[in-house]
Amino acid sequence: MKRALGLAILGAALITAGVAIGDTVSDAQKSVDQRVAAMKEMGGKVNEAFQLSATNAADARTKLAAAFAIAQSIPSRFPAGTADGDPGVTTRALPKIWSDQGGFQKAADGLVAALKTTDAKLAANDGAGADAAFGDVRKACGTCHETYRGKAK
Amino acid sequence: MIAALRWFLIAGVVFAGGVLVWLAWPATGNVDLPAGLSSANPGMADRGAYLVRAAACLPCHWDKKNGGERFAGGRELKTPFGTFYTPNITPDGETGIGKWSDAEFVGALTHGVGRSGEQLYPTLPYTSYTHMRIEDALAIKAYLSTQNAVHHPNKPHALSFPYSWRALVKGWKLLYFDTPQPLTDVPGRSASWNRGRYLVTAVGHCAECHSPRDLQGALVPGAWLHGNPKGPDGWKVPALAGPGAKEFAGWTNAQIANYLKSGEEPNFDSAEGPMAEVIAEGMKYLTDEDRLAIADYLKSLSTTPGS
Repeated sequence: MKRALGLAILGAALITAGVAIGDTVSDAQKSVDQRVAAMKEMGGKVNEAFQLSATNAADARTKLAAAFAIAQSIPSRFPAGTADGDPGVTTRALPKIWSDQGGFQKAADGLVAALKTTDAKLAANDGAGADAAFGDVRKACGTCHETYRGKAK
Repeated sequence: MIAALRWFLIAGVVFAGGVLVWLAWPATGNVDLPAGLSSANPGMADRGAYLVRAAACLPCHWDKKNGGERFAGGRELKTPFGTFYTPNITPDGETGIGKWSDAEFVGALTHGVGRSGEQLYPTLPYTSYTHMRIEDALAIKAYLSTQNAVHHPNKPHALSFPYSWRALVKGWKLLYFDTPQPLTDVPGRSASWNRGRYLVTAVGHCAECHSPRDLQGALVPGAWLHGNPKGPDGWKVPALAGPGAKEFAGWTNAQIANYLKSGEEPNFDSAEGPMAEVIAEGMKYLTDEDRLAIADYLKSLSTTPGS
């Protein structure tokens, strides 16, 4: 009887530990999933702003503001343990983000600056300037992705 | 009983021998070209220059990364079956295709048979090119013959057994390769849709990367353009049709055409990996009309998931 009880306790402990490990893994993945969703939302907002920019600068600026808020949060969306190669995580975020934090921060700042310029051009009703600035936003996205994002998987 | 077994064994050996001889027997790659069609006809090279872009020949037949010459091949293609090295398709007589006849070229492109009757691996997408019109295949040859002849010997593929046994491709073809059939227009569909279908299905060979493959390397039936989790160079290739094409289905025709021109995705992301090369060396040189035709056709698929 004692032995059965002991085995039951041991089993329960193992299950608890397993669940705990599982939770840790899923937390890291959750973080990855959230940042992927945020990036997609940001891209979507920039696109909406871009589509609106020719006809409704005020609405375009509202969309851009939402993208701006996400862009500012980028560096905080890459906690330790969420790189490609970390256990239990499927992500395209390359370890270089963490080994080259200065470069990554600079790339993120570049996006924030490009969005700020775009907003200023929209506020000034400078259509051609806004178009060029949207182009710089796209470049900022691409620059960061080329260096810090791995293959689609 | 023993006598019956003996006969059974003999029949088995004879059958196996027959299969081996059949596999190893050189194929007749030559195709009968319709009278009057020739790569030497006027205007063919110009027409081919465009089609070479539409077929995105360069990304594979140019080892750009290692400083290779255009169309001289040598590019490494890593696959689950081993590593392929693309061949030299410049007009060099010794190491390229300078001595190939029109019929031999069309045979390779649309039948998958080499100049010596050897079976070609389907890394050359003849499974798609087989739907190409013969005059277009000849135009491609005409254009290639105007390029610099580069002396660059082909590097042998490094494949794992049994894929290294080239003759097996004959059996693969028996199972997975249809009789060559140039695509004809579907009546009742617009000219743009039909043009898009031809560019996507035959010349552009989109399905070769954008469809899943089975263990034998054949496209999974019923999943044409449904995306490929194990695409070239380890890239996941997105779905353009079927249930996984949700994101793509949200793109407008103009956005697809613009993507093929500039690599710009609607969400401000950009084309990358092998598709970036296909755009840079191929799609961006097409006419706006053709890029919209591709969009027209693809959208007709993505809006009907599972087709």
